[in-house]
Amino acid sequence: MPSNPDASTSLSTEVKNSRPVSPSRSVWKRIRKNRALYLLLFPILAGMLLFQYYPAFKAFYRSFYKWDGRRATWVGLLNFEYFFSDSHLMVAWANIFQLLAFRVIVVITVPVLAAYLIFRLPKPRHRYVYRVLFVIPIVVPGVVQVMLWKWFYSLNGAINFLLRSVGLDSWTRLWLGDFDTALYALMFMGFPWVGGVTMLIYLAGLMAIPREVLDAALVDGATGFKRFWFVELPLIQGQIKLQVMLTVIGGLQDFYRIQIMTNGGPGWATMVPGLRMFHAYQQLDLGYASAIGLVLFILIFTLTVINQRYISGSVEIR
Amino acid sequence: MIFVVLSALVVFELAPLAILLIVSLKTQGQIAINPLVPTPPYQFENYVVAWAQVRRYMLNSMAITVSTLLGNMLLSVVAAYVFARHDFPGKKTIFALILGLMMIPGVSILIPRFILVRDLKLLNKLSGVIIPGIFAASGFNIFVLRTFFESLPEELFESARLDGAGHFVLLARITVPLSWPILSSLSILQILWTWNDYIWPLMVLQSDRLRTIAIGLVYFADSRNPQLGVQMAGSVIAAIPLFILFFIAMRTFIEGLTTGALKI
Amino acid sequence: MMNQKRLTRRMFLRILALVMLSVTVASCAPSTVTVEVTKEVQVKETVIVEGTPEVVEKVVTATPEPTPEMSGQISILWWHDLKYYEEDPIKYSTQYGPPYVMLQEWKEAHPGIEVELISHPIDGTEYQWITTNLIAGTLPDLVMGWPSGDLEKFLEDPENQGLVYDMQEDMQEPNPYGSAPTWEEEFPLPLSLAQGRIPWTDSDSAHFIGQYKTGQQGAVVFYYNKDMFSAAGIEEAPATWADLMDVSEKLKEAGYTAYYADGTKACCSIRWCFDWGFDQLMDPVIQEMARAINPEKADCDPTDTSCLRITDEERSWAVTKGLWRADDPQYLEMVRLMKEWTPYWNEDWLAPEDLGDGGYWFASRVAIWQNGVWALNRVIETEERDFEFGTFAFPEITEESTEYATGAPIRRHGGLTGGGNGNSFFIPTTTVERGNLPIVLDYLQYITSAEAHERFCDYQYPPCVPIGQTVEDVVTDPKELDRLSGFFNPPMTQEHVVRYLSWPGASQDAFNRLFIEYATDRISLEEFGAQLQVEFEREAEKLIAENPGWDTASWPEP
Repeated sequence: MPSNPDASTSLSTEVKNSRPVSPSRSVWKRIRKNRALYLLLFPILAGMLLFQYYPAFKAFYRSFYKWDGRRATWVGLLNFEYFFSDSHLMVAWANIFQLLAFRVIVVITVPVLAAYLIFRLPKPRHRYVYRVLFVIPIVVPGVVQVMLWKWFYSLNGAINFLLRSVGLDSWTRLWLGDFDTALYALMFMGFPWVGGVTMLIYLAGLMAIPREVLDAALVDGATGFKRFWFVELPLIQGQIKLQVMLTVIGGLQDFYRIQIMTNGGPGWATMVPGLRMFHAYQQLDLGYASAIGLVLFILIFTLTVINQRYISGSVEIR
Repeated sequence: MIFVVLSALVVFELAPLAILLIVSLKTQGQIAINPLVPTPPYQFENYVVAWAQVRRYMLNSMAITVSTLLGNMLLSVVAAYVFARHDFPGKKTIFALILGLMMIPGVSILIPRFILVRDLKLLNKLSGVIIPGIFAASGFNIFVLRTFFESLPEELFESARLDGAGHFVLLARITVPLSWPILSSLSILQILWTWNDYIWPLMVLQSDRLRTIAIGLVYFADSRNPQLGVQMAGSVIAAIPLFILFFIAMRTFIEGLTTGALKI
Repeated sequence: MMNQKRLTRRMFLRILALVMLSVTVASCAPSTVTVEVTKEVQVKETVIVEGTPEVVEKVVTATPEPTPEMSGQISILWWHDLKYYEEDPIKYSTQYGPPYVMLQEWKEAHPGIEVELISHPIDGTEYQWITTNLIAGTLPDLVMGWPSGDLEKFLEDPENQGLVYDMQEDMQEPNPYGSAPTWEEEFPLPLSLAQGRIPWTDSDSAHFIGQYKTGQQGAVVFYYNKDMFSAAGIEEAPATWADLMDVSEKLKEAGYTAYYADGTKACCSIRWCFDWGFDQLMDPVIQEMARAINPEKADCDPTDTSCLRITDEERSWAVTKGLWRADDPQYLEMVRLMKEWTPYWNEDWLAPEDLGDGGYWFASRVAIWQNGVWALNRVIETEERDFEFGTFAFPEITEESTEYATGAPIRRHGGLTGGGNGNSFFIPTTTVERGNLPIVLDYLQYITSAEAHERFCDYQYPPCVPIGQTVEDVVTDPKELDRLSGFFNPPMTQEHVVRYLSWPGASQDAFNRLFIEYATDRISLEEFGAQLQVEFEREAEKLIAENPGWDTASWPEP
């Protein structure tokens, strides 16, 4: 593995340039010459076109139809009309943005803190132990954690039990059945949100920082918080951005937890667009479901592009 | 200080797991009295009951996870190799097409893809989960792997080519062995993703016999006298394969992450 | 050198292809239905044999004659899961006992046939799943379901003709396991449920479906904890809505919770109460809706529920013409009445624990639990219950409770033609293509002979009441009469089956959520009506867009 990334990039460009393609050769000849490469790419391309692009295309054009999976009737913009006049869907957007904002804040704080603290542990043995301890929870299927938390929140569940046993009876409530707490209960789920894999990715980023950089920082007098803020944090910015992007993309799509926990209730207190889409699917209103999916797609696409162009492009860490 | 904060985090992070273990040894009545402290008699038969039920679900999940992983990794490695080490007409377009995959949110294509799988007669078959699963995450994998493969020194490839090595040799003898850590990291992420997937298998697999572990555990509560203890015992059993995997592959996993490919 | 290079590349591609293939094959391997080609020839013979009269006479006996020439593998999808009976014979005997036992008998008689039982949870997605798989051709060979309006509507759609095998002709042939001249006549006649008989076929579509049960028809009641009632000083089960409120209050004073409701589920603890209440308070509207569009229904007997069942087109018409509005005072009145009842429900009705069906009631955490006749056997037999119980039907809403009382008879789910036509079977056409039709038909004939119907009758509880008799003639034990009271008062007859005013689908979901907002004082009754009316109009608009076949231009005025 090359320790200096610059060296390898320059090397590979050099090598590429050393195999110049004669301009006299036609494109067809080059295609013929490389036919094996196309053949190698064929399976993945075919599969992607069939299982990803074709459904995406279908989602787009079926959103203008009333569609039950078999019969499709052109209804023009009716689905979108419903979409924009659906006041409960607006609540769902408000909910998902609150959930997203919370998740983003969490993903750039707690796991970073945990990773940094582990990184600062002097003994490798200790680092290893904590690393393992933080990763253990991800071996439990995600759905089990959801069910467990659902039970924690129930009237006779663990949280109310704890409150009662310390004499805070008046604090007990039906956490998931209360309009005032249901959404926050969903946020609080998974406390303290270290998230094994996220933490590991940050930790890996920290461990990849070259020794010399840290030594140089030390010589410059950067210690403690200063060192973290000015030296280490910027150096794992790439990882943080990736996590933020994945959280936003994943968070916008995530509804199965909510489906199991509250199914969007009480009322619409925890409804999110993805779940509304799933309900439309269950009611065989597939055109409307496609329309919601399309709007989600446009939103995710826009956020990704903004992220690529204006955020990650501008600060490239070397 | 570091130890205090870390230990506090660990305690809270692991508390649900501890409760999981405690509850898995209780009857419904014992849970009602005290859900948080282990009390004798310990109901080890919860595990016996749970094992009988989750056994089949675990096998299904394993079949799906392994097949998806193999198919996905094979195709992704080949594609990333082609993009990283070769130049051919249309390369940019095709790569953009594959990258575009990352932009398509799974939730948007959920329903049309379901209809497609229905029309391909893959409903209620494990392949209805496996085959779309192979292509669902490949955009990300190809992207990460290409970046990594590009960083491999060209001399190795060049000298192998001079020895007459074909694509297969270049892939199997040079690319893959040098990329083992990143491959294992991606594999673990892929395994986690497939193992935990809930909505898609729920839509595609309907007969009880084909359910994955994630669905099976949720439907545990369905009708048959649900016992939280048994359900939690099933959850503990369901965690064992991943636990073993992490125990074995943890080091390589972290090594792969430290290659720094997982950032943007 | 060149040669070697090519060879490796080819080899690689070959390996690639092999791996792909094996992955695909491996994943396809456990597919649902295995089809043996050899079946077809043998099967044809069977048909001929069955058609011949001598064979008919031979197999009139109780156990089926072994027909070893029939072999193959069939799959059956049973409502919920037939093999639950194996796991818990007490809990599931009413639903699954007789069919399970008969399936075992039939399998013994046909050792060459393997039967795979497919299950699907009853989680609200079952019809969506059945229709999707029906289109896809991936359904099992035989489907036993509880046809809701959704499934009937789907099968009646001209677009979906040909997906289901038409049993009409077979019905005109004799059933080899029966004694009547035709299979059709093996089925008990369509009389009242108390008399325990229902028809085998859907009224006007040619493809449907054999009915297999005779006695219990899925009537839904309230089960109550008699010990709690006595402790609270309640002597009689409530007969009117005012009684119900009174009983609830008394229970509360005695420290009990009256009713178990689950606000997170679309069905049924809350929704069915609404269905029953609307049926009473909205009776004039329903009567008009049911007769408005379809000329054939104009002469319907006001008590004939199967004739008066409301269709989507009628709902759309009534909403479009303003006849049925969510802000109608009599409609909102029922919503108000239900809210008045909510303080007596389990404290956590907005997010209850997963204790399983009836968990709260068996654990004595509530006094009243709504469920159907299918739970009766479990309630009687199980050790989970350590109290005496009784049943009562949804009460009449009288003038004592509201000025909008109509005096219409109590109607509830279940009973004759309720929820579609009771339990039914259909055979997807894919079964015919697989060559499994004769096997499946043979099985169906075995379990639907007149004698089989009698056996179902004997097995079931409450018992089948012969024509011309009342329940008191059959059941003499007063305790038993009390336990069964809810099923026979009102009788499980045609005129006591709910007519389904409410929409299925999206607006139903909105209804539930709006009710929770109203019940928790987040919106007023007026806001409830206004918001629900938006959903109604949207639903009507959508359905009209979806059904270009509806002649909306000539819709009459109310």
